[in-house]
Amino acid sequence: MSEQKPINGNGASAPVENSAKVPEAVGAVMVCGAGITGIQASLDLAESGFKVYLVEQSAAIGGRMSQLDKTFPTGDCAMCILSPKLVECARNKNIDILTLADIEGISGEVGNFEVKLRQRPRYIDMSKCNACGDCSIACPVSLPNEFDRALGTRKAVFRPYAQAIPNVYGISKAEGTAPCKAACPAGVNAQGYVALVAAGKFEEAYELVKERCPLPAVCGRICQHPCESQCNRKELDEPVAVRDLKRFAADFVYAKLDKKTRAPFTPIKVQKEKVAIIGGGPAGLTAAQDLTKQGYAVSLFEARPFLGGMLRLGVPAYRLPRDVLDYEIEQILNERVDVQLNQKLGKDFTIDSLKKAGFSAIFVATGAHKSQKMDLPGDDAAGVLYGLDFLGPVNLGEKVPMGAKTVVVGGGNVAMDAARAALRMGAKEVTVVYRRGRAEMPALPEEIEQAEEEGVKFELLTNPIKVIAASGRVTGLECLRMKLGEPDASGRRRPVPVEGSNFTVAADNVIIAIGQTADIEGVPLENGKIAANGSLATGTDGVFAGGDVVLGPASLVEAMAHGHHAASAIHAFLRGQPMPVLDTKKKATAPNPNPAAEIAAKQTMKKIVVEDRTRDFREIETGYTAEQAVAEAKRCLACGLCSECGLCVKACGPGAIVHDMKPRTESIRVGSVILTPGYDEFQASLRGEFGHGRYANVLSSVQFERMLSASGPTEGHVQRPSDGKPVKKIAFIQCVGSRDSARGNGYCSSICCMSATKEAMVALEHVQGLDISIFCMDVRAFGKEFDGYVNRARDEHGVKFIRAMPSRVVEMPGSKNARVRFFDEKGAEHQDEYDLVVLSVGLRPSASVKDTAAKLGLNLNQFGFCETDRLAPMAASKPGIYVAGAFQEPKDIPESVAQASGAAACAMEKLAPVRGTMIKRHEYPWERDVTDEKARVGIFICHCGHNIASVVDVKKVAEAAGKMPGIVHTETNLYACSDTSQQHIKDMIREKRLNRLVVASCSPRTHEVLFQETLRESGLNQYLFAMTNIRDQCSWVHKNDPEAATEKATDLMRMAVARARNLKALSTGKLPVVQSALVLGGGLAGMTTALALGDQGFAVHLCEKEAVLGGQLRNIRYTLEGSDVAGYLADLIAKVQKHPKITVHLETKPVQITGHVGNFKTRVEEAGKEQTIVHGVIVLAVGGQERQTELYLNGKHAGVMTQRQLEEKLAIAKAPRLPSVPPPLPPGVRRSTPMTGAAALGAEAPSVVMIQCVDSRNDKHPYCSRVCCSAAIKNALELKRQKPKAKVVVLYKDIRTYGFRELGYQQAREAGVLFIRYSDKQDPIVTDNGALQVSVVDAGSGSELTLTPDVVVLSTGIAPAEDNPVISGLLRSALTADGFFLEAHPKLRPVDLANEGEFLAGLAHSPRFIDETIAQAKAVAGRAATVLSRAFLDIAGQIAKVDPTDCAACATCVKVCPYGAPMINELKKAEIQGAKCMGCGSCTAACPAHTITLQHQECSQVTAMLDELLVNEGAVQ
Amino acid sequence: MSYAFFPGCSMEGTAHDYQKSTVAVSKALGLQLPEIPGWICCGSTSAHQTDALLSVALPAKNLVAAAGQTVAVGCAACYSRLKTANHEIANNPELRKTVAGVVGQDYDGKTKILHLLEILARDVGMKKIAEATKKPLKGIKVVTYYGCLLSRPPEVTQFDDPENPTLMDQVLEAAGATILEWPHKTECCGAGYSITDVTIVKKLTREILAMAKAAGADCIATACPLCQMNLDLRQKDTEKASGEQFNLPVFYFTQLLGIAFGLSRKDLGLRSLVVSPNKLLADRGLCA
Repeated sequence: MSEQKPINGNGASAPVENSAKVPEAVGAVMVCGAGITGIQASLDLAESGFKVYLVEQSAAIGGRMSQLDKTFPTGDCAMCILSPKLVECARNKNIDILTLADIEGISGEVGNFEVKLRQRPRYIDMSKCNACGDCSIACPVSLPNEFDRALGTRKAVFRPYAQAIPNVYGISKAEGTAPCKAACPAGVNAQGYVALVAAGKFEEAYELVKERCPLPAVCGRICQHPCESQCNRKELDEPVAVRDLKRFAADFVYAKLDKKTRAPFTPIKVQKEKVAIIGGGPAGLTAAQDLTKQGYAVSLFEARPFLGGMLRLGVPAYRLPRDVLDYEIEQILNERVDVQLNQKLGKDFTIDSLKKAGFSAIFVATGAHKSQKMDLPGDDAAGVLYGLDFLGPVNLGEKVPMGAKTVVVGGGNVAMDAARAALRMGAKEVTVVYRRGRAEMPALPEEIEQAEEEGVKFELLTNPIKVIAASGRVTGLECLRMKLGEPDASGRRRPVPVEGSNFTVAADNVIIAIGQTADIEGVPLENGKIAANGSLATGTDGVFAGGDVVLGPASLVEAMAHGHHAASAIHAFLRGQPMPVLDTKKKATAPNPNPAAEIAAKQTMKKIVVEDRTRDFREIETGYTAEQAVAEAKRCLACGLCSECGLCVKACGPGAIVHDMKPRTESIRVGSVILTPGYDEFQASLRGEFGHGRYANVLSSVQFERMLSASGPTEGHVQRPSDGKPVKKIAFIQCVGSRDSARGNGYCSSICCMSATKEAMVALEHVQGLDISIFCMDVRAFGKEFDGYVNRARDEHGVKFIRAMPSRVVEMPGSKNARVRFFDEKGAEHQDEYDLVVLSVGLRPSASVKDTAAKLGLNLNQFGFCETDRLAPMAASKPGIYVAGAFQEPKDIPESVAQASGAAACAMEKLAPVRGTMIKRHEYPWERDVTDEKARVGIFICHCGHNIASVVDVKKVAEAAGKMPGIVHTETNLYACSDTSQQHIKDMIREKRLNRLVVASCSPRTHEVLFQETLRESGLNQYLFAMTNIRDQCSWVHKNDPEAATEKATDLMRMAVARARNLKALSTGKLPVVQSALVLGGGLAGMTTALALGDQGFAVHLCEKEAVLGGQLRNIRYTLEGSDVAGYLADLIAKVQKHPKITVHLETKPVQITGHVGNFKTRVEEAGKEQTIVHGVIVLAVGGQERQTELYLNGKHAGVMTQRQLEEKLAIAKAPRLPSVPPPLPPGVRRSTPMTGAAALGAEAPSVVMIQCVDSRNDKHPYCSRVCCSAAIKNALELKRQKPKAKVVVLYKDIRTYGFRELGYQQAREAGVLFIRYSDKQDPIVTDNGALQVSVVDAGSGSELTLTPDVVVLSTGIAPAEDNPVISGLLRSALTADGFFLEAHPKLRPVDLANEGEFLAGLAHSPRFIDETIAQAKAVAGRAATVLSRAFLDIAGQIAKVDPTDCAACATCVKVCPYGAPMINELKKAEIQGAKCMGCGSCTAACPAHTITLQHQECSQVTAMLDELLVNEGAVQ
Repeated sequence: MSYAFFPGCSMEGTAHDYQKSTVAVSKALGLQLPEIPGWICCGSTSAHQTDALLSVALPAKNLVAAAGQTVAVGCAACYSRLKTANHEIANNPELRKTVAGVVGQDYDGKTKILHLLEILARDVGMKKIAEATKKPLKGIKVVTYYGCLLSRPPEVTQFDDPENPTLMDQVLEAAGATILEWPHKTECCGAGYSITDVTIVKKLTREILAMAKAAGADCIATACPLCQMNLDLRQKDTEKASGEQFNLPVFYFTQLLGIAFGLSRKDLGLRSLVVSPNKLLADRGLCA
């Protein structure tokens, strides 16, 4: 097929020069940064035959524009105009979108680069995710929403915004594990269950704890909580009470359970081996649970008559109620655990006997129950007890009476328990003796505190040396005072005795609680412990050991950790796999993600009063209430971001969540790279005097934009963040971070004046009567139609523009109003209060771009933007790498979009020979002719997980639809869009010979093309498909009324079926393309476009009305930055003239233009002779002119001249060798008369007054000419360079040196150029009283100044070209009120005209600088390539058709069509030109004879739907 | 912990209570503050307005005398002057040479200079302050007032966040005080015009006092003799002129710390305060 041929087959051949240079070139381009700039570049490239890799660092494309509510000056909804572009990108088969990707490096050279990329994990399988959002609903973790600039929150699994592309979710995870989670020896996911409690998901929290902790309620009471010691919250106030939250979750669940039943148990699979566990404490119980889950039969041997080990013997009931312990142990036991009580190792059985009995593995977890002796003299006296010997019986409920005075020796938890138990056993006075200080006590601080509360006394830094006894019974304890010396091996300071400090404490009982060791026989011990390796295996094969018997007295959580580990080691051992080794390495932990989090005190649990405590063993702490638990859990900082709680995994129907996804790197070969990384906003808090981040009602402009957005954090309500109250008065402070070299950036951010004005206008729409002040230095409304917008805001809507830079904002106590202090232009101080202050934050290069640039080897300018030249604005410092958008210089959307297309064109020039070599084209089977077949409709109804199915009864809808005539197949699918469903649909089409397809699911906007593809691949015409949206417009909006929603879905379904039965196959036409361009205008824009297209291999006809090329550029000699414009122009003309693909037609004007995209016929008159040129696209580059004026004595006084005339003189003086005869002027442009006054410029100290905005920005010419401020400054600086003593005064309305040109303004002021602002209403007056005199009223002070310059220089601005109305008529292309051509869309199609195939660049569009014109001209080449690179253009099926029978040739259709598609043909009948028709239906509706049909929307199809809804209602039921 | 202390003239005179309380508090914290031997005027009064060289040479002379030890300063004006001299000498080799000629010795501008607040908050630390606190300043609502000299210009003083410093807040919070958020922490009190144009001072101090009152403060804590004097000594006048009632005791932060440490009224020079703190302290059960 001809479509497959290389692109240049039709008349245009590849340029010889290029193909020789890049033999191995790659026909692919990488675009880095997927904001609107990157998107536009990608679309242009992909549409022109290049493979595109669109690389984006964030999770979605759309960039900064997706954050905007509206755009200026048109007031379009930003999302509404951006979203179609996003979808277009996603649908384009030749654009690979690579999100979460960073550039790692680049090698190679232009034409053949290899770029290394690193893609961060999304943790979601993009091929499975269908964006139903169930994961996000389930997710308990709320994080600050960076998209809304922390004005609201989002979930850890999220989509940045609703229309995000790729249309999938992603998960945010920190680098490193949450410290709490990393700290837990047993691997309990602390952040996870805390997050679940915070979300009120208590049962889920319990389930998550249970995964790694078999005793949640026990652990929730007595754990030593290493999680809390590591909690990042402790930097701010106190750690989150992680343990107490675990207790709460368990208690909450148990309170609702019927405790008599045991949860049903099902092992993963059943294993034949038996395992013996010796010891029924926490380690043994944990191992028993894990092993039975793995399918082993377990026998649990316990020496005592009860299970629980140290939990029961060591921990008193006031800390751990027995019913809690019993219940949780009971839950672990199941039919696969054989509990054998009163069976002691070494006595009742041995390791060998167990082996003989058939146990394949043995786990010894007998604990440490033997109290350590102290060997004090006299410790054999009656009344001296050891910790466990006392606590054991007490904890088993026995009475162990205590004397009045009890002394406890030791500082651990057992000592505290012994002391407190002694109180409960009748002791009146209990003293704890401990040899170190309080800080060194190993007991939990809360234990020590509670002991103190109960009246326990502490003798710290005290060591017992002797038990004093009388008649064999203890009477006291002799002690020695200690002091702390050097730290010992444990890092604690070693206690050293103080000589001679002996004293005696009276005692009736002494309890020694200084530690325990293993109490075990029949197993070899080392230091009182069993030696086990990292897998907990002992020296004996098949025998494992863990818990206190290995560790010595340790904690519950360590015992559980050993239990888990032993179980997995035993499982591995029995399965012959390598045994896992305990990981003792410290895990990398995540830092505090929110160091500025608000201080919030820890929730305290209610305790029973002290008086009640010591009477018995009732539990002291009564647990959190649900409210307290949620409040406490909300203190969590979510250090790991995602808590990995697993709820999303459970919620995700398609199973798309992959928590252990890893980053990956890949290398991609491309011919060229385009950088479009966009910008970051200035961090407003750096201007500390405005209090952003400190004062609630001070927002950045980005935050305010989000507030205005209906999809933003307040759903578009303008309210005070401090109290949510309505806003009555707003102040905007401009230039925060811009035009401020001290604390921000020296450049102007270009967009903020308009952006603030727009935000003001939108806010006014939201709030009636809002009082808005904008504090600014200048109002920089320099773009097309911008001044009109600002004027409307000021004059019609009362927005105040106050010329002042406020010095301070303070927050008023109480009201939290923001008070702004400023000095007005007269110097008076004001302190005004506002409900809201918005800081217009400037643009700066994005944070990561410096790094990327370094990796690419690119130069950046002094501010960190990409270094470029004004004469090559898209070329980065390395050949083959191009730049566009705000990374080049701060700029607005249309300029960015134009640069994007321009950068695409630059890339195409080098890669033209390999165009089309890497793109995919789809082959479809022959279409089945279904014209004569009866309708055989197949219906597929989507559940969309439960997005639809949970509200709409899809079965019922299917049943109802299935009864309709013509239906041969009906089914419902869980996800109709999945790959398997698509395959299934194809199978059904084949099997049941379906010839119409109806899908009821989500939005056609995103999914219609997918199903149409499936039809085409099945050999059916794509128009035989109807889709109805029963999700967005039904289940989502009516989720509270399932019945009505089902009814509505049925109605929608029936209508879709009725329509489907009437659908016809439509042919999509093909239109051959003439692969050449006609460029009107031989100035900078025209020549640049011509060269760019010529270099891509397309033939170009360049028509210039004058006898010479060059246009207005001939009058510009140098730029503000000092580039040599004249040299550039000469070079450009030479290149154009000798280019083999460009035919230059001088003194040529168009006479008639006919045809349409791909095939225009233009009659031109060239030097008096007419000829016709046939071409595929047309480019308007007809230029503009300097405005002529007679104001200010121009042309009447020799000392008055325009900026251009001054520039010419300065240029000649600067380079006297330049031809002194200026280049010829266009006809109609007068050269100013020879002037004697101007001779003064030759003096040593000439005095010059420049007047800006001459005959501009007034009622007659309300627009700004954009370039004059910079031109005046450029010339003033040149004059000062040539004549340092020259006096230059500039009279201006606003200085509009946007972007980096602001530096020129700064330089000029530094050079002594004086700037005086005059008001719109009071123009300066120039008089000639022998000498020139200029009177001006200073707009600030109001005082009148009189100046007597030698020379007055006028900035007269740029006027549209005189021919514009004529050309506008020939092309049927509209002009703006100012007389410039009107682009197709001012934001997103800045160089397209309304009709396809027609483009526009340079001054024909609007006043602009050289670099901006070059960008636009290149952009036109990029856009034109999307047409010229094709052999054929497709004509859509949905176009209008005229039935000529009834046509009266009234031409109504011709008049109403916005696209110029209808014409009256040679048969005197209307005819629609398919290539121009956009399928809007305007002609169909307007045709008085009803003889025009809009295909695919035919009357029969629409009435069938209405009939079904209104006439046949109920017929199918 | 030992620092070479530069008291400056204010602390010897009008702000002797600042001096007293500094000494007392340092002692309680185990901080050694031996004075720089033979210290002279820092130059912040008239020198820096009248003689550029003198304004650098005077502080340089003192810093040379510190002999490389870290210098501790209490007065914000001295602090600013010493820091400025350091900044200028370190960044201007010409000036360094000239100053060496005047001082009689080369000085590199690198002696470390710390304000007492920096020492207490960073070197001593909150833990020690909390430990030394015997009577926590419970229930006292304080606004901290840093004045303009400590944090500005930030590139010279490098003190703390120039707009929202928090060192004093941290120190007093550690002693149990309730610190109120208010916007005038670094507002100027007009001390520069104390002698030449008091109307300016009155206007500025009124603004500060009124804001402190509006914020709900019981008292103001200061770290500068000039600020303290303007807010305390002129308070009555300001009240008279504006018809408002402020009744806000203006403490040096060292006095508040001393109260928390349980030091005596005399050691802290509380009698020197013009707006009496007696009722406030009595109401809160402090310093009876």
